[in-house]
Amino acid sequence: MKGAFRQSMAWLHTWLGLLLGWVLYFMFVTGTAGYLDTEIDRWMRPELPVAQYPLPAGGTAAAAISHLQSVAPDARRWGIQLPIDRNEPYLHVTWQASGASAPASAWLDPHTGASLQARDTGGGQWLYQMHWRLHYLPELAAEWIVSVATLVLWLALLTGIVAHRRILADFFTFRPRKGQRSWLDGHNLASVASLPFQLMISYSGLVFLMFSLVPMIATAWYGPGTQAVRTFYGELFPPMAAAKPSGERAPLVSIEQIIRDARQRWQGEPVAVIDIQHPGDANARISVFGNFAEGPVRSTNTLVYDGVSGALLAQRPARQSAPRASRDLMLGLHEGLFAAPVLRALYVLSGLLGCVMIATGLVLWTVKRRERAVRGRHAAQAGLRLVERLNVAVVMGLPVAIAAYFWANRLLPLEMAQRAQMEVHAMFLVWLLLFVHAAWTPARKAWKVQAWLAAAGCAGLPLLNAATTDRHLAHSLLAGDGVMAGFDLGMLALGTCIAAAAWRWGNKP
Amino acid sequence: MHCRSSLALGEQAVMLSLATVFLLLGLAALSFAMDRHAADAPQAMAGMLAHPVWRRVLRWSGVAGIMAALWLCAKEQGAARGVLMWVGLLTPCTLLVACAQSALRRQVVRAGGGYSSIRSDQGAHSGQ
Repeated sequence: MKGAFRQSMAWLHTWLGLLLGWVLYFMFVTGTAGYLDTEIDRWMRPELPVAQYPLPAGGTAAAAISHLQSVAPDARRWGIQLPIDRNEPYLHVTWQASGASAPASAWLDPHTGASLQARDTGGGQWLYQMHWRLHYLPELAAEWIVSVATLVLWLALLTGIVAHRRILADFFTFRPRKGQRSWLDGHNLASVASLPFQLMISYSGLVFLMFSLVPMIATAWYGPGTQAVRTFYGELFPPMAAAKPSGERAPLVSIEQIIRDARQRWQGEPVAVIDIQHPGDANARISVFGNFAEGPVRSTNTLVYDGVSGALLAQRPARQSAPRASRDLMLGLHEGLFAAPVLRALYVLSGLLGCVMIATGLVLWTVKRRERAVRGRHAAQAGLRLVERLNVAVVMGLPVAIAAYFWANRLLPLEMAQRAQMEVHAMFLVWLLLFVHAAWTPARKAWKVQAWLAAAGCAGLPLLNAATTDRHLAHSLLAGDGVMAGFDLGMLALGTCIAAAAWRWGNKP
Repeated sequence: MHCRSSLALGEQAVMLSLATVFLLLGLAALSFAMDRHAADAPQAMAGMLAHPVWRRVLRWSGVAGIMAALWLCAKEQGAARGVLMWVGLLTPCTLLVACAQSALRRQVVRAGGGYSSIRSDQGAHSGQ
């Protein structure tokens, strides 16, 4: 009985993994890149100076306000993100003009309030957002694909644990150069070594999607229809002291006063975000948020002030209820925004192991069936040939495509129209070409060629950086610019590792 | 997050390094307490590992090392972050021990380890 259960779980694990493996690999690679999103942002905007944080809030916010007053005095809404940690390393302002559709934004010098110019690029943010938005797909389609993939990941992890017969005895087992056994050992080791992370990341991913995955729970209490949904969300995220614009002008209260008051109420905890509704109106509202990346629970204190008198109108503490805190803990753990450098490095390692887990699983499926075909002396089925080639294009092709994204960032002309979108198109165009290459090339050769491309693409980035900007490695190391130097060195290391692997494959018969 | 003095950072580095060392030693001890990896143990340890009592001591020492690492992480970073740091550190330490055991196995096989190679290929009757 036990054997049959384990076998059926193994069967389910195999088919779930195969069907959604490629999508999950894409999600894991972009998600892992997301743990270094603002570092990638900074490498992709070499015009921006080295970030300084944390900075005194009062002066920085005042500089932001004076800039906003000069560029968008009649805006409906201003947003100010203060540089307090690596999550938002620059003074960043946004504004939404009345009637305009998209908000505009700018990075500012924290001392003078002057706008900092940088090339038009999506940076690390767009790469990270593909983790749940994918690309070129309508929002709803992407949401459903990602939801199903996340559910499949959760099931694949659970069935994998059940199917792994000797999970404790095989804990430290890795037997290289033994074909299928080695691939299974690698798959098991990568998964088990990072198992707490994998379980957390898939469950918390489901929590992120819970309103889409299980909407009927809200429906059971609030009824069907859009009005019911609106009521539900209105109760979950109630507006605080909201007011429509009155139409009469009134000067905005001093932001330093507001910040002083907030910090006093929060016993010195920092102000991270300021949101101003209807600035310059008699009904202006200033919302002040603390740092929601302070700890693993992703929530923070909120204060809402009258924008003219400075009186406190509403407040909401970070902790509101146990269920909410549980959800905020899940979201906080998933995003890892609170992680300091060492823990962040461990997050990146675990993310990479997730990529290895999926990649080894996909390759194992083909190796097993290829060995079976060789033993049985029959031709490989079309399905096996398809999966073998798709594996190359996805597992090795995606890193090449992401490297192409970084190459495009340095090579595309700065004045190009739609420059940011063109960088992303370059990434997917290169990926498409690699799919075509994999389709026409025997799998063994395709692995080697695409691996060398990945190695060159990554290791070449520091050279490209030196050739196209003055923020090259020597300069970064001398100036103590950890982010620029870290990216260049990291890419060099990654390229070298991939080159070493490609060399080993090249020497095999 | 606020800037910490370089002294505090140095102290953090020492504590985390110590926790990592404890984790590595603890996981290594656990691995040698298993049949499969005990068979590849260096000569100096082989005698000890033949006795079930010493195996048990090794197993419990391994657990103690891992718990000591948890205590160090929690002491340095507070309960919540400490647990997360410890869980995170388990990953590279597990990988390192696994790779070390794999290298040890290859060395044993290359040296012509006859009996031990037969024993470990029988797989696990580890009594875990």
